[in-house]
Amino acid sequence: MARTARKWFDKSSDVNPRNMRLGMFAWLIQRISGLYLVIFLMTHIGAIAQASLGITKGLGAQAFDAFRNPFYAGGPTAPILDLILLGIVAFHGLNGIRIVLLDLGFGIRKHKLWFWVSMVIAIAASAYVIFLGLPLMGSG
Amino acid sequence: MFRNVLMWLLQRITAVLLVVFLGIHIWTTNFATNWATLLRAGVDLSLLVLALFHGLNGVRAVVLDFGIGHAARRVLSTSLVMIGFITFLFAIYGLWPLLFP
Repeated sequence: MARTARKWFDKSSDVNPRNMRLGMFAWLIQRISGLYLVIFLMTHIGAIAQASLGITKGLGAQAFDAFRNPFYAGGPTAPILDLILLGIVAFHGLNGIRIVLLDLGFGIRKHKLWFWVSMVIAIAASAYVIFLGLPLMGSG
Repeated sequence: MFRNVLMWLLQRITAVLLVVFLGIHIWTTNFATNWATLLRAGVDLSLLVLALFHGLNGVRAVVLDFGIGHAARRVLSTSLVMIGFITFLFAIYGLWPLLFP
């Protein structure tokens, strides 16, 4: 474990932050946001199923609540979590499109430019959804 | 080897489909009009399958990048398939009243 960590953060390591450039950071953030979205997907299915089946009382409800609460904490933080999720989805999706295009061979020489273009589109799309739906946020 | 290439390709295809379907999903759940609710069951069921495959295959890719051995790889793939299958069945059971009222 310690040896692996030392290998990762060695001066010559590719994943040492000071050796990482834009493409590597995009790769790393894509991985981390992907794992976050998998956890969110599971809690989302759980939360919607709980609401759909109408489980509000008893041990079952407590189990569902404990499972979804990190993401669906009711009250004032709910809209903030929704907005963070929206941003993460927009980032992961747009950067994913960039990856697909790069795999197809488009724009490899300008991959940094396309990263920033996809980020601008992600921010604009998030802003538009927020503008349309902010009053509805936090409803699940 | 062929299976890994196929998984890579399916990951790309589901990625593109997810972007489209996720847009429709957010639209129909938040700004639904009458005609939009008709889309809902089909889109949400497709989204369930696509997202489960893409997500769990993504977990597999992340773990494989750490360089695990053959036996561990098999355990990983089997457990991810089982997690996906159980989640799919649970989601169908749980979402049925919502999708087909």
